[in-house]
Amino acid sequence: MDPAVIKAREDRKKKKIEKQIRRLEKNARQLKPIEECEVPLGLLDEKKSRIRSLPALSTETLENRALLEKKWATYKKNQNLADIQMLDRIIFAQQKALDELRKESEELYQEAMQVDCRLLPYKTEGPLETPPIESYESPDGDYVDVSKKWE
Amino acid sequence: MNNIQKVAYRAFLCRKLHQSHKLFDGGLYEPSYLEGMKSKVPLYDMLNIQMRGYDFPILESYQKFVHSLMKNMDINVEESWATPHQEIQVTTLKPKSEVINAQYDLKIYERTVQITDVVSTQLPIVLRALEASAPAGVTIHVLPHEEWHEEVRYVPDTELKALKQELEDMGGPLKKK
Repeated sequence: MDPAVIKAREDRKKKKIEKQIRRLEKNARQLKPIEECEVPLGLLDEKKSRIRSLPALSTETLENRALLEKKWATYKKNQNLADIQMLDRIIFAQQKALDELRKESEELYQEAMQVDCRLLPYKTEGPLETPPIESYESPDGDYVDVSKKWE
Repeated sequence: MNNIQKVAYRAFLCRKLHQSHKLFDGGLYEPSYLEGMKSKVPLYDMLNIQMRGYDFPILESYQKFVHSLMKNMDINVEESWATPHQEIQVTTLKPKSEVINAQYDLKIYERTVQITDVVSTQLPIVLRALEASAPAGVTIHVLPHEEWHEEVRYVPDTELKALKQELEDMGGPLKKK
């Protein structure tokens, strides 16, 4: 009797725990909050003292501003268009090369179309403002990672 | 004679059905558009473009730029998210001593853009475009997607962990499917 009773008790406990696990898993997990996207609370408290009441702008300034925005929009549009056209030229040239390769040999074409695993993982850094200083002696120091730990 | 003709005709039809990749693509019982929808060119699986930098307005506007770049190249952008920043305390020491010269608190912010179904010939172009457009101070990593990338975004649930640990201690879950 005893081992069966003990086993039954253990089974009931396990069932309870499993039910609780299932209930917790149903609630959607929370995303970690991203500090740079949230308004700092101090600013919200100071909101009243920070709001300015400015005199209304004249129609001239408003018109000038609207025209300036239009000019900036055209400038950015031309920039973006130039980028897209460059990408188009690149893709077109690539496609032409692949077509020629196909005419030459089907095998090489199939090889060229394969997924290249050597490209990933890929790392690149943006350009730096100044070139490296010659014979620079870097000072001693430490880097300590003090980021918020979530456990 | 008629019987033999019937059997022969049926055998002929049967052979035709099995031979067919023109009559029934993918088989008699699958709709043909399923085969047609599969891409004929090899594709990459999910890729994550991770951007890290010390200056987050630049990082955010660069993320916008990368998103619009992918849209222009007809690459499917699955998701695009931010991860909490890393804080690094940098201390410089005076030469030949342990006296602290200066101490800085730097934050490294991170944004990720997830893309799926990149054609194998498109990826090198994407990488060159990213390399050419990277702003100053931003580091870009392109990696295949892994599960822990997704896990890192969520707050770990201590209660859930504790319960699971209890269950393990009791000797595994009841229903072992």
